[in-house]
Amino acid sequence: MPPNAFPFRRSPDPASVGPAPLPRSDAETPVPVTADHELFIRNAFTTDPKLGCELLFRQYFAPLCSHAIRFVYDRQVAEDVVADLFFTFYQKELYKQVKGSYRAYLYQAVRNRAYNSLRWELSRQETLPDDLDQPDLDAMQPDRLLQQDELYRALEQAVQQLSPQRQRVFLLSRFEGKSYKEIASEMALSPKTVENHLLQAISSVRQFLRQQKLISVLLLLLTVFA
Amino acid sequence: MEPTKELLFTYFAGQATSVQQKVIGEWLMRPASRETYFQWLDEWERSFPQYAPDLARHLDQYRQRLDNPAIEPPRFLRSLPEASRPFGHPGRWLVAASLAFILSAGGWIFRKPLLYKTITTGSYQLRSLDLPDGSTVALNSNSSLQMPRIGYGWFSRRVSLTGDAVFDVKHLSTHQPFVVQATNGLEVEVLGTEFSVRSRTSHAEIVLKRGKVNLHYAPVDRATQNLLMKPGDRVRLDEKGALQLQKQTDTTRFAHWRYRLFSFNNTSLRDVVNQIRVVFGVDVQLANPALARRKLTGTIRAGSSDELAEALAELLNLKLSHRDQNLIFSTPTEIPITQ
Repeated sequence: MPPNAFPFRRSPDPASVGPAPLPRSDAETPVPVTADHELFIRNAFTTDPKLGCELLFRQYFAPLCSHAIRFVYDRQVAEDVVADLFFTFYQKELYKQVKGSYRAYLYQAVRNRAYNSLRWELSRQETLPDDLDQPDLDAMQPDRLLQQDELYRALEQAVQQLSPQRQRVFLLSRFEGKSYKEIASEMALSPKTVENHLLQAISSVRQFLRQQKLISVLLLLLTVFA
Repeated sequence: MEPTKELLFTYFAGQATSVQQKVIGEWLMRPASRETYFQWLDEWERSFPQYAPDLARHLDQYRQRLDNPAIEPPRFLRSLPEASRPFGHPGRWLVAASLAFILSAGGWIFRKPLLYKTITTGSYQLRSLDLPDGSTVALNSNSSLQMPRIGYGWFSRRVSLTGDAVFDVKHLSTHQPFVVQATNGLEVEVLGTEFSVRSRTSHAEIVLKRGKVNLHYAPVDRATQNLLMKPGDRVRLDEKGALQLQKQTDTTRFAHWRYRLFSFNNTSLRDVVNQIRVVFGVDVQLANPALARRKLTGTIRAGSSDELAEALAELLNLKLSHRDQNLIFSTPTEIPITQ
C-alpha cells in the first residue's frame, strides 16, 4: 500500500453485519421531518435567539455528543466540546451566518472541534485558533468528510485492537468517567496496573493512527483547509 | 449513482466496501449531497448512540452560561496518568548507577560511531549531502564520508573521506578552513571552492575546479610537503607516495562519475522510483497511487536525484515537492496529502 493511501479494510457483505438494513421507505416518505423542526427553530431564532439555541440544544446535544465521542473517546471531553460549541454559537451569533441547515452546521463544527481536541491529545501540537466554527464550511472539500469518517473508524479499530482487559479499563475510564480506584476495585486490579493500562492504551491508539498515517493526514487537513 | 440511506448507515458503521466508499465519495462531491449526508449521520447517531449524556444537567448548565457568559464553566481536565517517578525506590539508584557505568563504558568502546557520523554509499549508489554550514558533498558509490557529530564548524570543519567525492565548500565570513582528510596522510585545506577528491587505498587524486586549496602531505616516513593548487590543477598521489601535479586539465570531464545515464523503455514510474531509491538513496513518494502506473521511455542524464526528478516532472507534467530528504510527485492539481 502506498504510504498515503487510506486503509480500506474488511469488505464483508454489508447486509450480514452491522446495523440491520432499513426498509427502503425513504424514497416515498418525504425527508423534511427534521427540516420542519428546523423551520420552527429558525423562526424562534428570529424572535428570541436564546430560545432558538435552547431548542437546538435539546434537539442535538445527545446525538452530537455521541458523534464527538467517536473522535475524542472521552465522555467529558465530548460533552465539553459540544457544550462549548453551543455556547460560542450563541455568544458569537454564529446562527446568523448559517446558510444550510443547523444540523449540517452543528455536525460539521463538532467534528472540527473534536478533531482539534484529538489532535491536541495525540500529538500535543498546539491547537489552532478558534476559527473552526466558520459557517461557510459549505464550500469545504468533501474529501474532508471522508477523511474524518476514516479517522473515527480507524480509532474504533484501534480501540478494538486493545487486549480485552485494557480495552475495558480504557472504556470504563473514558466512557463512564470512573476513577482509577473505582476501576481497580471493580476489576480487582491494583491502581498502578489500571494506570499502566491507560497509558498503554493511549500510546497504542496513537501508534495505530500513526501507522495508518492518519495523524499526519489530520494535521494536514487542519492546516490546509482550516 | 445515488447511495441509499442503508448504504450510508453501512458506511458510517465502517462496513462499506471500498467500492461503496468510492460511490459515497463521488456522491459527496456534489454540494447538494451534504445536507443529506448530515441528515443521515444524525439519524444514524440517534439509532446507534454511543452513550446517553445527561441532557437535563447539561441544558441547565447551558442556560446558566447563556445568562452569565462571564462565568467560565468548570473545565474538565483529563488527569493524564502520571509518568512513573523514576527514583522512588532506593534500589533503583543502584540500577541507575550500573546503567550509567555500562553506558559510559559502551560509549568509550563505541566512541567512534558516537562522535562521528559516517555516510557510506553502496555499489550503485550516489548521494549528495548538505553539510550544516551550507557546503555540499556529492559522494560516489563505494565511498564513505566521516564527519564529527558535535563541534563541526565550531572551530574547524574537518571531514575524512574514503572513496570519491566532489566538495562544494561554502566560504564562511570567519575564514574558517575546511579540511578533507584523505587516506595516506594527505589533507586538503580549503577556503571556499569546488574540487574533487579521490581517496582510495592505492592512490589519491584531487582536481580543483575553482577557488584555491592547500595540500598538506605528511607521510609517516618522509618530510611534510605543502602544495598550493590553482583551478584546473590535478594532483595525483601514486602508490609509491609521490605527488604529481598536472596543470590545466580539462575540467569539463570533472568528476564524470557524478553523471549517470538512466534509460527507460516503457518503464513504469514505480520502477523509476525504485531506481532512484537504489542509486541516490532518496525516497520518492507518489501522492496518487495511479501515478505509479504511468510509463515512460527515454534516456536522461542526471547527476543527482533532484536533477533526475526535475526532468521526470517536466516530462510527465507532474508537480515535484520536497519534504525532509524525500521527494514527492503529485499531479499539478492535487495537494500531496503526506505533507
